[in-house]
Amino acid sequence: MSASDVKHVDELTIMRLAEGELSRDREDATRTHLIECARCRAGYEALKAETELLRAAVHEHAEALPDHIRPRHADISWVLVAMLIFGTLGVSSLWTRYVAPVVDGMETVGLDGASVATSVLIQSLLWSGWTDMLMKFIQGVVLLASLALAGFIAHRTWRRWRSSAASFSLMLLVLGGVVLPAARATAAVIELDADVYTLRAGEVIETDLIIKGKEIRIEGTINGDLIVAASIVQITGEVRGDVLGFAESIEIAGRVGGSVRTASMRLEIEGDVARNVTSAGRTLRFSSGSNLGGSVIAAGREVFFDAPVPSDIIVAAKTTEIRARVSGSVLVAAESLSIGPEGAIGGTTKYYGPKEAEVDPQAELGSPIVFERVEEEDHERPVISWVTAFFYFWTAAFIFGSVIILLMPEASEVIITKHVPEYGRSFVYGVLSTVILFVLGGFVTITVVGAPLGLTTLFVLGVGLYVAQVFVAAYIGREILGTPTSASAGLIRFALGLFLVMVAKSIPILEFVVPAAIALWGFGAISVYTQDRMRAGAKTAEV
Amino acid sequence: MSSEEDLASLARGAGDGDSEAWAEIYRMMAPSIFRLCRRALPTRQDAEDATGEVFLRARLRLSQYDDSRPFAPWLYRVAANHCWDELRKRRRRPELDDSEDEIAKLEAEAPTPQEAVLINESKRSIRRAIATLDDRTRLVVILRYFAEMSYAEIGEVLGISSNFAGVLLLRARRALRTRLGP
Repeated sequence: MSASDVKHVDELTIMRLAEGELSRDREDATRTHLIECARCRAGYEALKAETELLRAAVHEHAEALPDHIRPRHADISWVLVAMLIFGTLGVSSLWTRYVAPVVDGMETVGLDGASVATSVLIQSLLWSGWTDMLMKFIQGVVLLASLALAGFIAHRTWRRWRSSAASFSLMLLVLGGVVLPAARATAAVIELDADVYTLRAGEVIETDLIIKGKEIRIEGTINGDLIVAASIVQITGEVRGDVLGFAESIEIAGRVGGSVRTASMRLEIEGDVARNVTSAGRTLRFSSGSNLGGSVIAAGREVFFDAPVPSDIIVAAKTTEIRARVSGSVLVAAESLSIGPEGAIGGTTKYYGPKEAEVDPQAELGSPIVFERVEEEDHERPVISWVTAFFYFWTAAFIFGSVIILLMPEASEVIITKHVPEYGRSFVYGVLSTVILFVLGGFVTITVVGAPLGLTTLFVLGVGLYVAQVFVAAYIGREILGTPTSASAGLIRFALGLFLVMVAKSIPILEFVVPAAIALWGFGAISVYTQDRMRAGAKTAEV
Repeated sequence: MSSEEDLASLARGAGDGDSEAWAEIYRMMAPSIFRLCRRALPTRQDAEDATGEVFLRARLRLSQYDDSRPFAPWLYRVAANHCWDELRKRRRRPELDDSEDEIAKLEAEAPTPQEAVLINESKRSIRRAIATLDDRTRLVVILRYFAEMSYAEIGEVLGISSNFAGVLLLRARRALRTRLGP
């Protein structure tokens, strides 16, 4: 029997066979036929290939998906985390590659010291072993990035389980996984939390010491850095690295091999500090007999120099007294500057104040003081100037707020009508966000990454707290005049609300409480809004 | 966990009122549903609208979903029904329904000349040709090759027999060959 004698199978049947859509018995019969008939077999193969081609053609992605349908591969919060990580990495590499060499070069040609920016950024604020720290930091960041990635993947997988408990423990795990190795990665440290702690004379800590408590006394030796938060800190022993302190009172009678950076009501230095001192607080005193190896940057109420300073001084304080030799330059902004008989200044002196500095005739000045008069604040200003100032501030805030409201009408509307009225929730959010940003920004500034990123964070916080009053004011205006029907009506309400807010802020006894409450309230509303937006971003989906 | 099991468990969650689960389903499936609608309906805007409506419809009918079976095909069916409804709303003239005759006719025919089938056409030109098919024929092609539906399922959506779904499919393939042929 030749193939031509066979009754061929029709195309419909062959197509159904090729697509698996033929009933069992017909399939068997047709397959049997295909074995014998080359022509039908060829048709079958051709149709099968055509099916595949059609399938591929309709599956090929020919055009972009609309934005709201495009899959989001990450929740926004994760994107932010990743951005933060890579941002810090970028900043630090930028620093090592571009900024640090320039700074080194400047120092080589003698441009250090006198430049405020250089001093602020390089000499004092940054951690002593910056390069070393940076290497550890980069390792830490790489570790963090990998952990974040792992956490992200795990998060994506686990969210399917829909168990909040599971998600929560996962978050904790990831958090622990991120924080602990990061702490380990930076250095071997001893972390202590003790009410009263004394490192006795003769005792040695080989690593960094991080400690929190009420009274901390260091009589022995710490070979690394000392990071301390306490009421009273006394160092009579030796810290070979830096001292980073937050306290009511810090006394350094022993020796510090690195720099000292503190935020403390009182900082008294009676011993040796090999490098720089940066201090913010009420009183800073360098007692006679103390030895300082570097420069001083200080902000406070009273700053006294009774011991020589081999480098520069930058001070912003109410009272500044220099009663010893300063080899570098001096930059002072104060209400009074006095230079005693033992005082001497090797470099230039620049003084911003309400009245000329009092210089003892016996003091030695390398060059005359450059004095720039800054009017003393008049505490009994006439009413008219108070009104003018109020008007200026009100105008500035009004213009600023109007721009915000007009630029972001929808966001403003939501914040004003939805989040500000929920004052309890907003206030709590405001407090939390402020504390978190402040601590984060402050911490980043003085420790890990350095000033740029931390200062940016603090700047953002400052702006946010200022913007906060805009929304609160607009809300108050609406409460009084009712819901506006047009943009200009909205601005009138805002103007009125702002006026009331500013009057409230200038009530003498409540001059701190009211502004703080308004700022936290409004900032909280902004935070709630931002958070909702992030959630909505992750959930655009909701149809 | 395969994504199919994921979907089924998410659908269970969504059925119990978990809106986060539904959002996740949307994230996973919206691109495919949009593409299906885009191929089935005339314009991109139609497809965007349809995507939203399909999910709305599916959510309302979630109680009808049998979670022992895969979810994606179920959702495709909702989408297919929706697209078909949309196309019918706009249709000016009804299709000629000559199913039994045509089946008999086709079955009497000789097999495919192998050189006639689509082999070397670009996927892009095939898509363009598919877009020019009449609504019902185009939908059959999309449901078959994009949504991977069986002839019987296609028949259910379009209200025709599974055999006739096959006929339409062959008709579509022949039309494509003619349009793309030399």
